Amino acid sequence: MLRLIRFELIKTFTRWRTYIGFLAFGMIVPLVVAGLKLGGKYSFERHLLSVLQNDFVIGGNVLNGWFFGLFFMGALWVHIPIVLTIVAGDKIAGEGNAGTFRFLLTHAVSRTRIITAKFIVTLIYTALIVLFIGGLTLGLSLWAFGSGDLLIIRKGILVIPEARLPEHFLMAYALATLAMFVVSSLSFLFSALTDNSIGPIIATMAVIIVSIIIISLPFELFQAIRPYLFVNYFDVWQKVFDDPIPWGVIRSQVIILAGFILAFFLAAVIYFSRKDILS
Amino acid sequence: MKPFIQNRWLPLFLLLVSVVPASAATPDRPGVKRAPDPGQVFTELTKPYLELNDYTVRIQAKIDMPTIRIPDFTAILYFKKPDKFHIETRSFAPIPRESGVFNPFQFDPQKNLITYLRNETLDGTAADVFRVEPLEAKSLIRYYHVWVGGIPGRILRVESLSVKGTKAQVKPTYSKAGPGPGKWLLPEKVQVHLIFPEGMYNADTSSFTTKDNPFSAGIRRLDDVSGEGDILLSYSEWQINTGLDDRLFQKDKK
Repeated sequence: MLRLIRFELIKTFTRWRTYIGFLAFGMIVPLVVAGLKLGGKYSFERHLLSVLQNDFVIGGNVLNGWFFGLFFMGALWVHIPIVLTIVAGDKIAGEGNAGTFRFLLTHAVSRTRIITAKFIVTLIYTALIVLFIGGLTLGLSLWAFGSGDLLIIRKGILVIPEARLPEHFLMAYALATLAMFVVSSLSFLFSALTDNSIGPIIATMAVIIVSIIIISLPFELFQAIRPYLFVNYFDVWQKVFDDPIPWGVIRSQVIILAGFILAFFLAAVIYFSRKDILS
Repeated sequence: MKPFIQNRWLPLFLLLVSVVPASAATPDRPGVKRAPDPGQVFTELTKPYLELNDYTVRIQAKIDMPTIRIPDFTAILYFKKPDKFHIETRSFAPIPRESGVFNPFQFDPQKNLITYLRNETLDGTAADVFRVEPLEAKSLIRYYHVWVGGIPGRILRVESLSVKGTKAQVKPTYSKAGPGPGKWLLPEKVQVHLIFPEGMYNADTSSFTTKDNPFSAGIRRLDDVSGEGDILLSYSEWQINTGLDDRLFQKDKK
């Protein structure tokens, strides 16, 4: 199994499309940090805290590196699925498209093991891209804006002391990775259903966009559907910045997300095991 | 018909009518206090601080508010006449705008419309209550009620109403500080009780989407500060007239 995973890893990381996500975020994040550094930070601060500034003078390094690390994660994680589908959607469909499946399946390895290895590599890629984006945004932000306590604005203001922030961010990235695993798993399932890698990318994004619309609109029918949509649990990582941390909610959402991952993977395995390989 | 008062008594009657009430209202009558002149009272209050050009002080703050949950923080406050200030701290440090930054010239009679309201006893000390309305059009405060009393005269209590509707009750206590043998009476502790208007600001009401969806749960603008709470500010390590450079205050012009 390990050899299969290693083989898949080499195959994945020798393809240029694997690096599209790294390149895209590697360019956009420094650009935004530069924009914030060159004057955007103060207008951003004024915009966020204008209500408070009527009654208070605000001191301290309010919008620091931790704040922008969180800001980037909040802003970018909606876009991360796009780059994930590029690789995950190609994982099985790409083989079909290239006509390499018949060759691959002539080896004395079961289809389940092959698909499991591909799935594990998809998850590894997903974790790497989330950690890359997290590390890049946080690292650059801390370098550019310095450190300090983290300001959270939701229903009022919460400040998390600087000393506790590394553990909060580590937990947040772990949970964000789990949420993105669901996207990759769905794209992987769609990849098993077709021989064209464009299809899984479009299908996954279509599911996400439709789900976002459903959970965002305040119609009674849509709100009733909401708990059954995986995007409803995408913000689980943000809950580690609540006070107190709602561990019960996090635990149940982690179980739900893990359930989605397992369901998508099993569906992919079952379908692929019975699939006629014609190319 | 016989006249009500005969003509010969009329000059005496008029004299009594005009003289008796006037003498009853005389300010020199023992036990009756004359209304203080607001301009004079507030000029007297600022007079001891005329030589205070700048100060540096350490502030320790404890905020107890449901909508602003932050750890206790310490900050260094720099002030320079007439109203420049700068705050240095690593923490997120919201300091009440009108009461946290001590400005002895805040109620300058030249810049405020001051009227006397009443005299009352505040915590066992006789105090005159004044209404202070800033004349500056850009002022964030509609009016203050200021309790002045004690020996030497000082501000014992301030209540204010901001333009946005926030009410503040401020109770300062003082100690003598500064160079020389206790030259200035400066705040030692300031207790602030803030009452924010309910639902005053809700800039996002026009949005059609649900407020609690995962895609709106990230960084967002602070739309509302409601409820009420207390802030306790403690001042220490006063340094007066150290000649603070104007450049220190330039970065706060944002």
